[in-house]
Amino acid sequence: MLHDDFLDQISGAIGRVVTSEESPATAHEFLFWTAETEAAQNLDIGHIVAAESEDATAVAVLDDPRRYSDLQSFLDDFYAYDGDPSLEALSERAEILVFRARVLATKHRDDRKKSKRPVRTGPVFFATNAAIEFALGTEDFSGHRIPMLLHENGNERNGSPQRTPLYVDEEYLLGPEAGHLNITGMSGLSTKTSHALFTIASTFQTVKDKKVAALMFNVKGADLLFLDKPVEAPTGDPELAERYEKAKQRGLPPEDREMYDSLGIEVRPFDNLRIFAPLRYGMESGERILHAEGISARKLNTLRSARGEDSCVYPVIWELGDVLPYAGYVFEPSDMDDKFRGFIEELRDRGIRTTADFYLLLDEIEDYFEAAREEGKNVSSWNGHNHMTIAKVRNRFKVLPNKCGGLLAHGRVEHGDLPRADGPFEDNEMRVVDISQLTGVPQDLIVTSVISRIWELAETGNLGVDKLIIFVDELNKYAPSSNSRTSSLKDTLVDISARGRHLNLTLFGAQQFRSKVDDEVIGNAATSLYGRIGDEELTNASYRSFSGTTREELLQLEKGQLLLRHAHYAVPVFGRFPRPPVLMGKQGTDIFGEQRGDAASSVLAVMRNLTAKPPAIAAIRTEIEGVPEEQVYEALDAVQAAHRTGHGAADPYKNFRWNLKRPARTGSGRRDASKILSGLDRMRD
Amino acid sequence: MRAGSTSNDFVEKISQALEGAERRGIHVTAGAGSCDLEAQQFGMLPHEEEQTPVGRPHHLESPVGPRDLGSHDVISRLCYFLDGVQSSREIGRLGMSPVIVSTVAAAIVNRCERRFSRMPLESPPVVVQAVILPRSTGDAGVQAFWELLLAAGFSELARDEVPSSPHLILDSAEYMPDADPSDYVGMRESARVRVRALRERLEGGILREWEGDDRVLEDSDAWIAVDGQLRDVRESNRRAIGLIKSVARPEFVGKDVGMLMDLEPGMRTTSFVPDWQLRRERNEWRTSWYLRMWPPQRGADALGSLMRVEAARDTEPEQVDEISRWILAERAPLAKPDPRWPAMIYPIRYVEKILKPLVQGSERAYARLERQLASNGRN
Repeated sequence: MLHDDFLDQISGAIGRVVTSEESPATAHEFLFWTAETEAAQNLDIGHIVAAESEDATAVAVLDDPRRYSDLQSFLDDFYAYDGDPSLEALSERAEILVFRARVLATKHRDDRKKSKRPVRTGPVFFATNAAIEFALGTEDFSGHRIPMLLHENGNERNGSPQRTPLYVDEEYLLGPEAGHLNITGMSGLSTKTSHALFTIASTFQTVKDKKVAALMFNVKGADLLFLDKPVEAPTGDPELAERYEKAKQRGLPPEDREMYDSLGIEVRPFDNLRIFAPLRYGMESGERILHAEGISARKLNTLRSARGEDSCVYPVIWELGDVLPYAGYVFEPSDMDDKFRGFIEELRDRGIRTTADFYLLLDEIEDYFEAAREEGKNVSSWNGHNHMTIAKVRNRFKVLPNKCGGLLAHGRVEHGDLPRADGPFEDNEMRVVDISQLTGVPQDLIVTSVISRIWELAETGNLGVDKLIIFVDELNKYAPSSNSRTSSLKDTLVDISARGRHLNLTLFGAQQFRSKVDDEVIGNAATSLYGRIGDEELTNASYRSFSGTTREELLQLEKGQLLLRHAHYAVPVFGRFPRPPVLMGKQGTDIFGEQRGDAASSVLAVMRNLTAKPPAIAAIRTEIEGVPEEQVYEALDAVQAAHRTGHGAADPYKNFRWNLKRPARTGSGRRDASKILSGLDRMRD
Repeated sequence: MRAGSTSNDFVEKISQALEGAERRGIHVTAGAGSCDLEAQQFGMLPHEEEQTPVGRPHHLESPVGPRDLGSHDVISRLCYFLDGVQSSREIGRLGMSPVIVSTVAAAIVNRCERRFSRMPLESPPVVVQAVILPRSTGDAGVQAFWELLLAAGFSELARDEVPSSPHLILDSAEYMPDADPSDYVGMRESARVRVRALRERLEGGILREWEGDDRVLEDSDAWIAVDGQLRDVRESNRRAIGLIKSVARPEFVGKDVGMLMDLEPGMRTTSFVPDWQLRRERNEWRTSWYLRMWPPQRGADALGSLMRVEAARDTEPEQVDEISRWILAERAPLAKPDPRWPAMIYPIRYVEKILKPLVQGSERAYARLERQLASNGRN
């Protein structure tokens, strides 16, 4: 044996290489028939084996199994059985199973030499972990080894398959050597998002010497809103454990835990989660200045709004000036003629920042026409803009707040020290922009704007971290293939794909239809993953490099199983990954949603976030006994608002008790922190 | 046994003897290249399995005629299958005497739960290789070369001895007192006959081993089907049948031949002892009958799908029926693509398939030998 440590000799020879004039072994593939041993019975597509040439050991992935018999014609069999399929023949016709093995790498006996010589006729063994790691180029990695999938080979020990982590090279995933990740798979299996989360967690835990952060967009339900919550109930909190149980969230199955162990990754949620969401439509106060710091999570259009669970939730609020550059997204194409566009440019030139300013300008224009009419002049335009165009603009802008779905504030927005969705990142920050409750226009607006601004941050070196991962799902919508329409978001995504790795930006893209995504975005991804893919999509040229068998496999991949192609891999490899180490989907809202408990539970949840020594639930119950629930929440919101603005009391529970005893100020009986701050601004003006 | 390494040893030993011969001035002339004796002889002579019938057989059932076997469910007791193969080539000449090398192989496979596995036996060897020279013709060069081969490690084989060494040297003129040393064609034919005898002896040795094997003794219901006639089988062994695939010349005479040609598929003839067996020792008598497995195939004659079956002497007609049914149950899977499939059963084809590579896998070794002979410059 040339490399004893590459061949699983405990399982023994599992087959024998065959070569013939018609099917010779080549530098890149060989064929072998399988033995009838118990170990060989496990051989299957995707397993990795090793065989030898004169001076080298080739490690190869199995593909294209075919079973042969010496039967020449189906009719012969039919006649032999007299057309009776139930007839039990005394002998089984001899059959052999032949696998095609696609060579991943070849190791020469002399480490200084490379070999591409085809393997010789001889025994085939299961490849060991060492062989698989060698074959996947792990020794040549220039960056950290980031576990991405787990390969399960056919050789078993004590009933468990040999498991080998499939690593990718950090410098080829996050740059600068290459970059970006692309995931293709059918919608609805949650494989794409789950794997993106798993890979981000894996990256955060593996890359210790660089600051890494991630940005994701939550487009469905509460999928990404509880990423800071563990997948199973933490010990020592029976009440929380009961809620997990009630939500049927029973944690990871043992096999997933084993996978985490094998991958060397801890099962732990994202500690530093920040969620950004726009206001719910109608929640905007209409004040001239809106203080974002004072906006309660309950006013935001997100499912992460329960008291005590909202300390990581921040608003996304735009002024009109933020919307104007994206007028093309907001208004109907039929409205966006040159005259309309010209007036919008007028607004931008004049520095109109807010809706309030816009209406002031319209009033001025109205006054201008009024004055002209009073003077008997026949004036039909203002500043070169026809009064009909201006009327159209007024008309169209009237519905703008509705179209923007709570994103647009009437007045100026004061963010203070509050984190921004498009601001710099912290180390290991998982930033989620929640657009799940929005319709198409504001969704597109937010995605486009946030990514564009982060690109600007990257270009100016102000990301705040060394590497930022941006996960964008539905790339076929945001960066469609060249023949389709172009957009500023597509341009930005293409830019990120082409140059992002040099600016520390990495795009984790996902889509259902890889063939419908821009070639440059796809082509620049050094790492690609493929989940289950529909047959109509699979017929596209994007998949022609795969063998027929691999394509067939992609049609029926199980959940949690992916095909990985990486810059260091000569041949794509199948692997599995465990469920993400966080709460996803409905369970998040079931366990941590608003309806989960009484007022005392909300108080306790808030206090847990604000102080290391929260009061006992019994003490809280005694304290709020007899106090109307609305008043309890009002007092609690006041405490939270104070902390958010940096003016929180040293003892938040004491502050809460004090607030509880104060009478309500507003007519509705509730104090609105943003209104208080707006009032202060008015006094300053 | 690894056929490849054995072949290399075999050729190495011949090579040594050739070098010695060259030193002693004995020149072995290279042949015209690879020359497959079996292929050359095929078609020239009656098939090796068939004796030439000369008289009326001794019928064991009356009236003589076809017998319907019915269509009962069958529990076959055929669990073992024995076959042998051979391959011979002329590698050169010593004067007018052909130097023949041959490889014979034989094996038993066991069928268990419909799957086959080779039955390992301690002895004799699965593969035996031999050099065949017409030693008894008295040619001095042949005699000298014979001794050189013995010195190189070849063994002689005594009369009726079962081969125990993998490399043998055989005398093709041993049983020919008046052999003419100039009869090159006759020497080749006698060499071919000697090879066949060697194979039959190997098969016989294996069959004896089978009879005494513990696994066989423990399972008294397990029968063996042998490809070809039942030779070298003990009288006590009543669990062996021989399947003779080709019927070049029927054992019947007169109107019985017509009955045989009209035999319907799935039917047998009445049993008999062939005339040529009656002329031999009584312990060589066998109960025979013909069985038609399939309808006559297009392009084949009326005897094409007939099989002659041999069983122990005095096999009762009921037992003949039962054995016939076992054989008929072997029609699936079909023994195709073997051209003899209409009279062949799949397990025998399987044994042949696993043996063929053992006798045909020495091309490179023989090519080296032929180069060595050619380099002597006496070609």
